[in-house]
Formats: sequence, structure tokens, C-alpha cells
Amino acid sequence: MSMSQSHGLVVLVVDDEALIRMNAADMLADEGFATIEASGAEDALVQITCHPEISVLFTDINMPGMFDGLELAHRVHAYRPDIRVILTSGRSPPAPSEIPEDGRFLAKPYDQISLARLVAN
Amino acid sequence: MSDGPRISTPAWREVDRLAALERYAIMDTAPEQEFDDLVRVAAQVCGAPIALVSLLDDERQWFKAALGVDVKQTPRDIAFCAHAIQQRDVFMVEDATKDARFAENPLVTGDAGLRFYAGQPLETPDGLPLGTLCVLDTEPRSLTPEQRFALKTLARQVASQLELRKALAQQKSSEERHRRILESAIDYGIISMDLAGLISSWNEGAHRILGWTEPEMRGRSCEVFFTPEDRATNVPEIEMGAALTHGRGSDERWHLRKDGSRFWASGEMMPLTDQQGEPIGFLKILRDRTDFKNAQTALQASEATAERDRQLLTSELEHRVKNTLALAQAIVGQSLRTATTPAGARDAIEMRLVALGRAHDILTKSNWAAAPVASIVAAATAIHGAEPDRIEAEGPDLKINARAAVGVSMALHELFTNATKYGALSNDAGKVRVEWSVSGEGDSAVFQLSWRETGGPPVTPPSRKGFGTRLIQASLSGDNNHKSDISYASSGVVWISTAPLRLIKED
Repeated sequence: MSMSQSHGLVVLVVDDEALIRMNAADMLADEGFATIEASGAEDALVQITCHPEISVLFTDINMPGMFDGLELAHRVHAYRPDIRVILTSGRSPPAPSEIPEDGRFLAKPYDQISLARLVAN
Repeated sequence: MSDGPRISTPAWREVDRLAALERYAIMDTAPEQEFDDLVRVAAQVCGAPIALVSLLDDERQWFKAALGVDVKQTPRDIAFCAHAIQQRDVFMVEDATKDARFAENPLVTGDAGLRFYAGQPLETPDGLPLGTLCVLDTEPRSLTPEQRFALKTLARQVASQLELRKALAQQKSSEERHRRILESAIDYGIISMDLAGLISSWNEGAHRILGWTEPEMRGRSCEVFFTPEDRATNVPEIEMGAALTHGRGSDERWHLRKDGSRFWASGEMMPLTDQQGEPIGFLKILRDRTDFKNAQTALQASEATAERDRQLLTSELEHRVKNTLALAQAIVGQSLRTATTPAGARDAIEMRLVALGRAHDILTKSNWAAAPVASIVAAATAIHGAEPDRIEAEGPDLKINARAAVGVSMALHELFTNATKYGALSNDAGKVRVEWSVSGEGDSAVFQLSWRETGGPPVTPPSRKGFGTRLIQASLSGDNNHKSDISYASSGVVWISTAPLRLIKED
């Protein structure tokens, strides 16, 4: 079902809400992206370490655990500046100064086309 | 009386006359030089040994001034004056012994031996006679026309003096009242100053509010009770300027007390003008509204807190709504993706949204903080109409957070759906056992939830991994060491899910 032209991009999808994470992963798969899923910020850091092929981080901000999605984005940006960061949340967007350089924000709920466009660009 | 001179009916009533006398407040007061002088002149002009200013109340005549007699008063019934006030002109008795009205009067027959009387009524401006100015003699005699004129003139002088005396008393009492009002207005500081701001008066209220006494402040500049920052920015001058330009200068600011403490003053400054309207100074009226100001500040602070709380609540609500929409979107998207027919998709979407709604119902009861695992299991059982005796649920009293509650609810929904269609609940004998527990302590504590079907028809693993299976596997937030697993043993489906307790326990 998620067969289409490959962009060669691997997206790490992070959301503690399983349903939403799965749906996001499926949307990206439909658009031809490879995905890896993580259920939290700590789990995501492990995935980043294990999968050097990850090129885009798409993460929810509000998650339980040691640190949230925003902190995750900053850590990933510091460790792998080549990974592009896309943040999402049901809350108001963070101030641009709070987002890592070149980072983007996508409000929840989001649609497949908007998500794919942000990830591709 | 029939044989005496004819007496016209007076144009006044006795009750009004007595009330007027009362208003002059003169009866039984001390002698006064002005009246003493007038009786002396009257006696001289008329060549009489006795002269009186006699005032008549309802039972006596009383002498405000008396020359030639020692008594201060006599009863009214023997008073010549009682007759004199009945007419407007000079009332004269040349020889009392020859007048039937006075022949038996003790003043005539007794030691006083009076023979002659001439009296002119003392009239108020509205024509009420209070008494007389009169001259008396122990010899029978008369008055020349010049003496009559002089007596009338002097009587008018006495009446004027009475009037002046009354007016002065009224003014004095009004000044006294005014002063007392100022003094009793202790809630208000009332301060007058000249054009340069030098203080000319300072009432008791100002003393109370500001601490300085009037002697301490008179002649000093009003700047002393302005704060240093207000002095630095010329606030006193600006306030005086506003009073001159606009007729008033508002004074709503912190002021200094004598002891250096501050109070919130509320008041204003107005120009004082002379009769030509030229400004000659200022009047400042102020109140100490520190309590009001503090209450206002506290209210503003609590309003700010309430506003912050409101914003937090709004943001939290917005988050929940957005999150719920995202969940619903995922449910719809996933159901459409995996359904084989439109009707199947519709049923799946409906049932999953119902499960989501029920999870939210449970969360709403706890203000979205946490939901008891037992309630989540009971709700899932109820949605699917499962017979209670075929479902065994067991576990400790434990509450999990909103996200975990939704995850578990959705996973149970998928498990119930499968069990009802293909598993232990698809026949009459199968059973389901749902258990939950916590093992370990502190940060390493692990929550485990298991679902075990028994007694159902033989199970075959699904040919492909559908949405339900993925949902069941991902329902609890885990890390790499804690995942969910579903096995399709032929004896029945078994699902075991674990998660670090710290990630799912109530917030």
C-alpha cells in the first residue's frame, strides 16, 4: 500500500500516542518515505544512534519522560546537524527562537499533503 | 381701660414676638457698653433720672441696660412697657397717679414712686416690638417734641444694635461651625497654601493623615510631603499649574508622612481666588486611600493570576481538543487503510470512535489526570456487551495517565472485537482473563497488562498485520526493553504488554 517513488529520505516519527504515530508513519509511507517509529524522546535518541540513515526528525513536542520533543530536537540538532527537524503539537507553536536552526513546526492535526511537503523540502 | 387712650390692635401676634425675642438670644446676658451708652444718652437728652432698655418676654420685663434703678427686672403685669409696645409711637404717661391704668401700680405707690413714663418700642426689621427704650421720672412731666424725636432716634439705634448683635452672633456661630466641620473632617486633610506652595492652614485631618501639626507646617513648602521622585519631576508645580489652568489639579499619588512612610493620597488641588477672581493660593483636599490602593493592587494581582490560569486552561483545552482530533483522524485514516469494504470501514471507524469516547468519559471524571485500570477494562467489556461471567479482570487499584488510558482502551477494543469475531467470545464457552500488575520499585518499576483467551475455537494467526494488531502492539508507551507482544497460540490469543511505570502512571 505504501509503495511509491522513493525519496531516499528516512524519517524518524516520534509520538507517544501510538495511534497518531502509526498514522503519521503510514501517511509518510504513502508518500514514499521510509519511516522508523519511536514512542518517546529517549527511545528516539536510541533510534538516531542505531540508524545513521535517518535524515528527518518528525516529533511531537508534548511527551512524558526525561525530556520533551523540543529538547529532543535540540539534542539531535547538536549531535546530527544534518538531520532536519519538524516539530508538531496540539498546543501553540513555540517561539521561532526556541526551534533549532532550519526547524519547522506543523500544527496537529495535520494532513498528509502538508506533512509530506514539509518532509520533502 | 375704657377711660384710657385708645389702643389700636397691634399688627403682630404675641407668639411671633416671643419667638423673635428668642432668636436674639439676649435675655439675661451680661451688660454691654453699647446699650449702657444709649440709655445714658437717652436720660441726658430727656433730662430724666431713669432710662432703660427693657425687653419683654411672656412673664417679665428684663433690663439689658438700666440707669437710675437697681433692679434688673420686674413682673410683666406691672410693666409700663407692656403698654408701650402695643403702639408704634412714643407711649407717654405724664402723671401715673392720675392714670387709672397705673395709679395702683406698686412702682407708683411704692418706694420707687414713679410718676412719669415715656417709652418708644424697639422694633425688629419685620415690625415686632421686643421691648422699649424708655425714660422715667419721679416727678410728673412731659417731653418736648425734640426730646420725643431724640427718644425715637435712640430707640432705632438700640434696635440696630440688637440687630447687629444678633448678626454677629450668627456669623460667629457659623464660623465656629465651619471651624468645627474642618476640624471634625479628620478623614480629609484640608490644606491651604499660597501661590508659592507655602502652607497657610492645615486642619486636624491633615495632622492625622500626614503627621505634622499645623504649627509645624505653617509657612513651610508643601513639597515636604511629596515623594523625592515626584519632587524631582516637578509634580508639585505641575499640580499647582493644573489647578490654575483647569480649575483643579488631580492628586492621586503616593505622599510622604512625617515619619517618612508613604500613603496613597486621593484628592485634588483647587485655586483660591480673591474677590476679583485673581488666584491667591491653593486649597488641597486629600484622603488617605492606602487601604483602597492596596486592595486594588491585590485585586489586580489576583485578576492577573486568574487570567494566567484561564490562559493555561485554554491552552490545555486546546491541546486536548487538537489531540483528540488527531486521534480521530488517525482512527479514520487507519480504518480506511485496512478495511476491505466501505461498510466494514464505517463499522470499524464507528466502534473505534466509541471506544475513544468512552476512554475520554473515564478521563473526564478524573479531570483528565488519571483513569483507574479497572474502570477502563469495565468500560471496554460493557461496549462489547460481553457477559460479565466470561470476563475475569484482576489487578491492583492503579491509575494511569490519559495517554496510556486511551492506548489501553483502544487496544482492549481491538482485542474484544477480534475475540467476539474469531476468538474466545465467538462461542458460548470461551473466557477472557485480563490481568494487570506492577513489579519492581521506583524508576525501574514495570507495569504489565495481559489478555488471555481460553476455550475459544482454535486460533490461526492473521494473514497480514492489520491496524488492530499494530494498535495492540503499540498501545502502551514503551522503550526498547518494554514492548507489547501478541501471540496466536491455538489455545487462544495471548497479549502481554509492558511499560515503565513512570511513563504511564498518573501525572
